[in-house]
Amino acid sequence: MPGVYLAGLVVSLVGMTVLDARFRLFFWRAPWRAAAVMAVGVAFFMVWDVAGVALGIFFIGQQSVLTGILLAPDVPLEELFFLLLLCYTTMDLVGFVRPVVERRLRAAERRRP
Amino acid sequence: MSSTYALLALPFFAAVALVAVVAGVVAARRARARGRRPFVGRRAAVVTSVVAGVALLVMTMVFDNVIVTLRVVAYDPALIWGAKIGAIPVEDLAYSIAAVVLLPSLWVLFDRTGTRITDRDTAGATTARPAPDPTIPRPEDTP
Repeated sequence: MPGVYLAGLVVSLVGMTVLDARFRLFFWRAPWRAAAVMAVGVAFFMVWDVAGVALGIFFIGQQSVLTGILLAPDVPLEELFFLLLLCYTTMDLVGFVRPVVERRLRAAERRRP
Repeated sequence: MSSTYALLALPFFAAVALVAVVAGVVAARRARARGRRPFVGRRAAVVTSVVAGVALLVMTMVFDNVIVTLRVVAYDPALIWGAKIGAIPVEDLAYSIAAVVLLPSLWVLFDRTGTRITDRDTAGATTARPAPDPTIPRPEDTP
């Protein structure tokens, strides 16, 4: 079923956006700063991907779930969405964990005589 | 079987490490300018990356196993170590490790609110005072 992978990625990205909006994790904390992090992050991993493809390490397999749209040889359109999801998931996680860690460290600091 | 895929990660890890060190220096300088000890912030950043990193690695193992099983991605067996987690080569995890260090570092470096901190700090003071001596901890740091 072509497009299934892209659909899955989009659904996951929507989920990340909902979590972001609900808990103010990333874009809902500082939109331009988040956009800059995403842009640099996706570009960084895209270079990594293209290098891996150029070295022949990984490539598109015998599948039937991609749309068939390619950004470059063996770099499907879906890879862009995958990298967006990787970066967004990472920063949502960090945005969620960081305040908890800070609160605990500060509490531990206060308990110390 | 070879280390090609693993070696590919090295230059990218080096770039990530460099960005992380710069972010650490910048964050410490900002903390000192605000009269806070940079030590607490640094430890919070490291603990956050470890906790978020473990969660991200688990998610990556599940996700990558799905796409490798669906054969969205395939690997040249001659260019990977051969050590696998389910269907995925262990080298795949390098992306997540890089992400959880690089992206929060960029988040720190792209922080532009720091330039307005001094305004906010002096606004609360009853009289204008010179910039606080960064070596003297402020009262709120020593309860």
